[in-house]
Amino acid sequence: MSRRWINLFTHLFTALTGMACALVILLVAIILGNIAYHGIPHLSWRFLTTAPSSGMTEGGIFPAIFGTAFLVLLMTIAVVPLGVCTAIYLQEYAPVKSKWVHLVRMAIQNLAGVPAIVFGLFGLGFFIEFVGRRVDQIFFSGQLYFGQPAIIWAALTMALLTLPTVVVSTEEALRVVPRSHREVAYALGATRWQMVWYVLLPQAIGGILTGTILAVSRGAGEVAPILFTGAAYYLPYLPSRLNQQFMELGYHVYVMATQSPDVDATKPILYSTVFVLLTLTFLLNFAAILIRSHIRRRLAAAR
Amino acid sequence: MRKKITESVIEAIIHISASLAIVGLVLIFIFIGKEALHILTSSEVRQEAGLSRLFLPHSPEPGVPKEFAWQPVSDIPKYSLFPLMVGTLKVTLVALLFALPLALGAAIFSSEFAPSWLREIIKPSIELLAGIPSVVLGFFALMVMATAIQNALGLDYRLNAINAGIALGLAVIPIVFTVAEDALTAVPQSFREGSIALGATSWQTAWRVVLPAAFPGIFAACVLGFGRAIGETMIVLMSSGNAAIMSFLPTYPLRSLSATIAAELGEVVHGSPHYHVLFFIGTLLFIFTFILNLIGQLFVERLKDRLSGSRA
Amino acid sequence: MDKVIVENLKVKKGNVAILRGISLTIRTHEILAVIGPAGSGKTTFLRCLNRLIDLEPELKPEGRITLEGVKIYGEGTDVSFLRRRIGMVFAVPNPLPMSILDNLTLGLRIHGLGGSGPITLERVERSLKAAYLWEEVKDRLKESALKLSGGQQQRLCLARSIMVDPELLLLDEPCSGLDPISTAKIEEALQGLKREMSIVLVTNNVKQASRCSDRTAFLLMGDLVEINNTDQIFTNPQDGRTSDYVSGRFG
Repeated sequence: MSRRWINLFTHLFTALTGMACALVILLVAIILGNIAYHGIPHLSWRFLTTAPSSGMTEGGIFPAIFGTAFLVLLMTIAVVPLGVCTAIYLQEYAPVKSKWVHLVRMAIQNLAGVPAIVFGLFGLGFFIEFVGRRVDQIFFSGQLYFGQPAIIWAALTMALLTLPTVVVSTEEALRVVPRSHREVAYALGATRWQMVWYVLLPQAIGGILTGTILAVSRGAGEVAPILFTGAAYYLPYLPSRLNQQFMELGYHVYVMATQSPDVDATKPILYSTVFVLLTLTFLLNFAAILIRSHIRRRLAAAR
Repeated sequence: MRKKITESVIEAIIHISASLAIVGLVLIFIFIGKEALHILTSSEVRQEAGLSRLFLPHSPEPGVPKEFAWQPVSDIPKYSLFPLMVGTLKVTLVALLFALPLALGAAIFSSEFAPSWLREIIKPSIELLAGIPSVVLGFFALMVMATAIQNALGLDYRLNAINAGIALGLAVIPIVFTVAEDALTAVPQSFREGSIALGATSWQTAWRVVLPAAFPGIFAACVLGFGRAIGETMIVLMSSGNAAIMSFLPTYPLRSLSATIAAELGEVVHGSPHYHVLFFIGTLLFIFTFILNLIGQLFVERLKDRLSGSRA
Repeated sequence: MDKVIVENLKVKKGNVAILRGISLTIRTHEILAVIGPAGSGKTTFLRCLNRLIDLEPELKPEGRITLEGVKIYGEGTDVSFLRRRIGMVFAVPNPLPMSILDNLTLGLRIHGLGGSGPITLERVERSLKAAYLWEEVKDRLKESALKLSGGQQQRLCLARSIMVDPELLLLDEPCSGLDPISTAKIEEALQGLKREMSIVLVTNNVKQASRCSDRTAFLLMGDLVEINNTDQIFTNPQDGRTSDYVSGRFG
């Protein structure tokens, strides 16, 4: 190949890959711009704090915001201790290079790849039909309390879905704690758990927080797992008990976009709902990124 | 003594927690597979929706020609999975054709050519894309993109495989980009320096040295992207038209396996053949994505081995 | 009086012997210096004494070590309590990323001895004074320990290890990266501390051993070549290798 051809190829290749990059960024910008452009005008304090009315063509989305918050709160309570303990096991308790550890790691990675809709099926088949029914038989003499779609089942389903996020984030945070810090605690007579408690966890708190926020962001945005496990199109009341159904932002968007009798009337509301959902998840992601970079900078400074 | 007890209690809790990921995965398989198994074991279900009904052409009434049809709620329910598989394949193909070049190109650009300030823009943008909930992408495809694409290409159907595929591709791009970029940046700088020292240009270095070295990771990125596309539900559900037709044309609507579960499970009678068929579809999705994930992981590990030199 | 008796201590890593049968005693209220070239097993020896070697499963210590007559590798040894009695300072200053005060009280909290209150503060002051650090940090106990200089950090680590009143203090080349002034302060601190405890000082600095130890042990390639009073080792070594080493002819 002559020099000229090589130069041409070099430029072409750089330009093509650069264009791919630019196109992706452009698409992101278009999507966000479009949603912001159409979503912001209808936004108001009233919209955020009132319930829908007139068959979803008027009013706000407060119940959906409340339901989403309630859902991710329950999910967090379930997934954070579990995920943190799993990460601690993998980093501190597990014998190095054991088959079991390999298996746990593989399970976590695979869990992250299971389609969201399969989690929905699992929530229905396991939590509602199996666990819920058993609970009703044992504690409520067969009356229907927990053997039906409910926020607790949706939250637990979502917890399983977000488990890998928390584990990976926490593990990363534990991994960067230097060995010498562990030895300090051991040399002072700490048991393994005391070492974890006094030395590792205070340093890993940022990583745990990052994982939690990412999990919350994911949980607030996923719809497929809650389709049959507890989300409701419309509820005249806010959920206050664990076995009640709930409204949720993402589900609200889905239903309004696909099953609304009057699309034009709901369109402004729909756009604003999408904008709220997007803002929520982005703020969470942004917070996670900030915390993560803060930790990395602090770590770099400490070395 | 109390210290010892606390210690062993906590140790037990940690061990149990760690095993829950495995338990969860196994439970998913058992509880979805259990409901799906009725297709083989229950004679009532088998009669209406046995394996041959699901996979082979079938004539609903004597005299009517054999066909592949998914009409689970008609008078004579038809449960052929073929239209759904064709739909899934079609939309996945479009998604990959759209996403792979973009994601891989962006990954190569970001790791090989972009100055660091530009990388600081590219990576967060893609993280931003990854953070967009799929229901929002579905919404965008349904409300905005569908019309734009229909007008631009002059299509008969507003919701079709092109529209759904591009929307789905947007969800696939971040995962492909991330895995591929990781693989590319994992290639030691010394490989590049060696190539450039021999007089190669940055393009030749990327093409002949870095890409081959990172190949297992790039391949893993594609496989994982494929898995993501197959399983993604909300985007396809909202933007594909959901018509279970046997057509390979990308300009026609489609119904995917995952969207079928989402659309129909809410209304289905518990324990009916239809219910079990939907769980069967879920099992198929689970097994298929599971295998794809395993392959992806395998290749990521192979890349690590290769770059760490233990298996050159 | 003998505080610790080490009998025929062997450590192997796979087929490679790191320690090949060390026998010696550590007396009460003495500073025992352990010298030898890099890779002679000094650190491994030290880590056997407080069983920190347990953290490296591939290293298997054999032999017998007793602390006041009780086997430390015996069945049912409370390792936590053992390590409370045996403090340790590492080669690289390793304050934890928390306040100076929290660093100091870590041992108290681990052993359920409280972590705040006037008694604790009294202990903090006593330990910091013993480590010659009190004047420099008394007004900034709540500040991050990472803000201290390297020499201050190492003295903080010394103070941290004596907070729980150990009977034996192990120091693993504590001054290897420090300036002469910090080194002098630590050596001074050790002279004060030996009134309360026994001290084992591993050092690659022969002069440091001669300056501040009562007895000196010379390790070479996992063997104990010689142990004797420090002035004997430096003025009248019995083994040729010892005299070569202390006169700086190798290592």
